[in-house]
Amino acid sequence: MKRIIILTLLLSMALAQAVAQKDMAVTPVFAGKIVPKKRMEETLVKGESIHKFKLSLFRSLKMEVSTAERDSIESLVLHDVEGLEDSPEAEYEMKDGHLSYCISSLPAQQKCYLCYQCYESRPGNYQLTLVYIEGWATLKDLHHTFKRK
Amino acid sequence: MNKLIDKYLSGSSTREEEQALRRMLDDAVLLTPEQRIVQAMLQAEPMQAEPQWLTEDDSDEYDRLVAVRYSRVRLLWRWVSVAAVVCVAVGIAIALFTSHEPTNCTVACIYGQETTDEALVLSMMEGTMQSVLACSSTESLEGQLTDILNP
Repeated sequence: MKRIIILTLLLSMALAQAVAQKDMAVTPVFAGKIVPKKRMEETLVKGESIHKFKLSLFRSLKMEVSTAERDSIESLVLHDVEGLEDSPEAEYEMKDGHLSYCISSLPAQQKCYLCYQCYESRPGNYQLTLVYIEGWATLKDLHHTFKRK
Repeated sequence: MNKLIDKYLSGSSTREEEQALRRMLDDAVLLTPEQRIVQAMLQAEPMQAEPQWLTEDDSDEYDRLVAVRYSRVRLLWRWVSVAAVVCVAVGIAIALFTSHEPTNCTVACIYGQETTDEALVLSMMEGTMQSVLACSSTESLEGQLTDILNP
């Protein structure tokens, strides 16, 4: 019995390392599988340069998308923030039945946030921004740090 | 024979003595009523053979069977142990591999064109967050007061 317990613990540790990647529904968006990367403005910052913002990782995408692309990305975002709408670390707004703005913390060891913004730039086309950040900032910190000057 | 009968009835007779008594009673021509009763009691008891203790040969057979079973169990545990070690090694390798990713990175890719100008990238980052958070209509009175008092 002792052997079984020890071996199970060892196997669990190995498996935990193997599946430690964050598997989010919006991962294909960041990978350029929904909208090609050549149509995006992508920003990736990690390390000490953003520690002053209480962040360790910042990754954003800005793109102009069609209605179908908007609907796909919106459903992925809603899948990731499902159940977190009433969290104190979440804000969201709907417009015409679609998500227009959302910032929500995600369950993780370190604070992670997923931010989403979408508005119609031209009839049938939408300006969509998707941001994933990691760090130790609270929502209040983010509002204070990035308020418009 | 009477001594043997007394020993048998007192329960202190050995198996050999009981067998000898049985033979004597079977060979006797005339038996007293008491001897007949003892004869009947002896006949009612089955002739038990000597107890089957393990002989030297049987012990070898037992050891062989146990050794076979034990070797199968040990072989199984050996394979399971090897699998566990492989899994742990894979886990350590993955941890070491992922730890080699750069800890500092500042890059922007604008419509396929890459730039690593830190100032530009950070400016883009701040602009994006300001744009996103400007949509928020839930800024509390406390937050506004904080902004006024702590510009």
